[in-house]
Amino acid sequence: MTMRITDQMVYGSQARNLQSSLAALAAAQQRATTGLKLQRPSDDPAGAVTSLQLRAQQAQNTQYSRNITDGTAWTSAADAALSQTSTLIRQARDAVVQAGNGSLNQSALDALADQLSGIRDGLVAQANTTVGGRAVFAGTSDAGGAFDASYNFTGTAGSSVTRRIGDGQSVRVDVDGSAVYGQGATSLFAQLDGVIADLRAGNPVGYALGQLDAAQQAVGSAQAAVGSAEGQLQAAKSAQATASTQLVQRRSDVENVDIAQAAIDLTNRNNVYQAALLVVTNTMQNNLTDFLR
Amino acid sequence: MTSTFSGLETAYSGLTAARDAMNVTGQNITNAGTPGYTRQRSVQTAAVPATSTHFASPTAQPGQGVTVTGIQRLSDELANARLRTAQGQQAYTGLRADALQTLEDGLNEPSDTGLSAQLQQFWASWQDLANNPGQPSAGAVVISDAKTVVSQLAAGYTQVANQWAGLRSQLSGLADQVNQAADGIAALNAKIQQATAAGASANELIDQRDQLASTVAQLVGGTATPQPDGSMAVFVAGNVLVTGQTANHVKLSGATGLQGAAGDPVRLEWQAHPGQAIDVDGGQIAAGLSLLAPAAADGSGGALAQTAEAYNQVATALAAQVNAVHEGATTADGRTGLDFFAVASGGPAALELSVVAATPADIAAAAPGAGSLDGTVADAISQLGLAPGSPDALWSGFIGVIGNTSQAAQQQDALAQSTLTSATSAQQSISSVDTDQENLDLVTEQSAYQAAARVLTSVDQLLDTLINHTGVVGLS
Repeated sequence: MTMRITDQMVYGSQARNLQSSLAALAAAQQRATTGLKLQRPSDDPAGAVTSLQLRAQQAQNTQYSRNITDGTAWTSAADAALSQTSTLIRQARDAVVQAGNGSLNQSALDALADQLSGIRDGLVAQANTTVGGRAVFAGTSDAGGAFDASYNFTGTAGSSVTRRIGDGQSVRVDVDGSAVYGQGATSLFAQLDGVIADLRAGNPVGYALGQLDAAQQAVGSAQAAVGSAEGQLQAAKSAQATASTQLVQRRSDVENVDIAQAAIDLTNRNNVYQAALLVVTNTMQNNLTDFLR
Repeated sequence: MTSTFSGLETAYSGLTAARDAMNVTGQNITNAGTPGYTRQRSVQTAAVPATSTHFASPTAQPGQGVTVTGIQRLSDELANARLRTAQGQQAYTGLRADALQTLEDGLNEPSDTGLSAQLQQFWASWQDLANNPGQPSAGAVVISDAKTVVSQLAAGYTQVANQWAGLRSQLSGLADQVNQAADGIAALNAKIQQATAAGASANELIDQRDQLASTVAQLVGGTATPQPDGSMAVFVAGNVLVTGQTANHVKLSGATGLQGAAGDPVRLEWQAHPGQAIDVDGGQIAAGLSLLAPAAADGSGGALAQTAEAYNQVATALAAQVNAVHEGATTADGRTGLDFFAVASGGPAALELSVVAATPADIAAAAPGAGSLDGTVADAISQLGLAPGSPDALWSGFIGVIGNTSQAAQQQDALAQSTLTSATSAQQSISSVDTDQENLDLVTEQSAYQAAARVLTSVDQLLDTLINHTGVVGLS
């Protein structure tokens, strides 16, 4: 037996169908206007978890970028200070070589001593270079500079300043000042003080050449370390930029609708709804009552 | 021999039968849009011939017209029962799907302002502190981000607790509605039995009773069965809600707040048997009870309590993991063994979590002996969010679980909706009014009335011939 159809069934199913196509239209509109397919976790539970993880990675990536910028400020400052130091040591060596010439009178030696004294002050200034109030060569110390008036190193032995530039990846951005300049009585500054005193006393200063060469070597190896750190920072920066683009792309894949698809979807739903309205208005206008006389 | 005037009686019975049928059709047409109305039909039977007890009749006797034997209600109990079951199921899935979506909206994930985003910002602030351990501003940001996370956890927990309390009081109202409907069914049982005993039609009363039975099904599920005596018996979870003219009442009992729910679960009880929970199998109350259930260790508890528990777990893990690292570090002024977070006992962790470090000076960012501007511990804390078992991992895992639960509830609701649609169609196919059909019936009944009137005229003319024109030949 076929099913008996009644007015209430027809009106009821029309109302239901209108309601469901209106709901579908509203959902399509929301997707198209927000551009999001992930409105709440139940829209795609696995996607929601992925989205949270991608957002976390993005936040970390942004932080790594800040760390790299901060680290680069340290390495550039250290690099500049080490270059200056290298130049000053070379000048000091030239002065010492000149002093060994033997034909210089005491006033010329005094002039060289004055020159070395200026170089020593310059070296102390370079050794106490700061970034944002912190001495680049003093590690984790909170003293204003790396060396005090009596050339004592203020940093903590074995400590270092590092910046996190990736998952489980850190780079050292400071330079151990005591390794470059020595400390106390054996520091480069104290040695220069000795040379200056000897020059003023007219004593030979040839012994200083070895000291200055050793210092130049220490500066060189520190420069190599800083250069390698800078290279790591550069590499991390470009890796970070690539990762950032990829993360945006992947998050968009999970969270965003394809706009063209959303627009087509919206048009379709709209057409279906319009058609349903038209059908409803056109069909149930008449029944048998209209034709009975 | 039939009486000379019996033709008049026959025609009269035809007139009344046709008029009665038209009245019934009129009732159908006027109630075509009434919810729960079941179409009716006048039942007619041909009247048997009168039989003489005194002597055998020499000729065959015609019948004595038509008798209206009753007004039939065209319904099918099987279709009604199937509709009630479908209504109960859909009410269950509908309430669950709605409540879970509200819950999800409250979680505000994934978003730029949700708990997970706040946690990420908190970890990032430790990185900034690791970069600039001596700067009070970096420490101040750590403390303010920590307070944001703390207040977000408390706000999230409170929101869930409010939804829980709102649902609890909604269910309490629904339990009252169950009692009203049960009373209504019992009262109608009495009226229907009285009307039937007096020979009157109880069809409209039965419609009302069916409506109430549907209400009960939507509220608590159960089954409703018509009894041979004309009453309807309603059973909930195998126990009697209504039988004859007596109704048993239910009540909602148990904790009135989320925090007491674990010790005193919300349950539906018979008022006559307090303390015994009814195992409700359908309807909105069953859905509400499933959402209000206490949290379980395996995550299978009520969704609201489970969400509150997730907030607590995040708060506990956050405090424990940050403190474990922070305690081993030293502040700029050399203090060690300090806690960063505290969780007061006696309440839910999400509400009792607080930030201990009052000023940037109270934050221990340095490893002991590594120099006062060391930031290695701050860096280590900033990496806590990446580890398995971290607050972030707990939270995103929970978001996946609640998303799945809600998605399943929505799919079940869509399924229940289509079952309900088909059950409604099947029931309406039998019971609801088709105006075209009623119009046709009206035409038929009108013709029947006209024809009966015609019979009356003919009999009248016959009698006229007999009385006025018989034996008058030659008189005038």
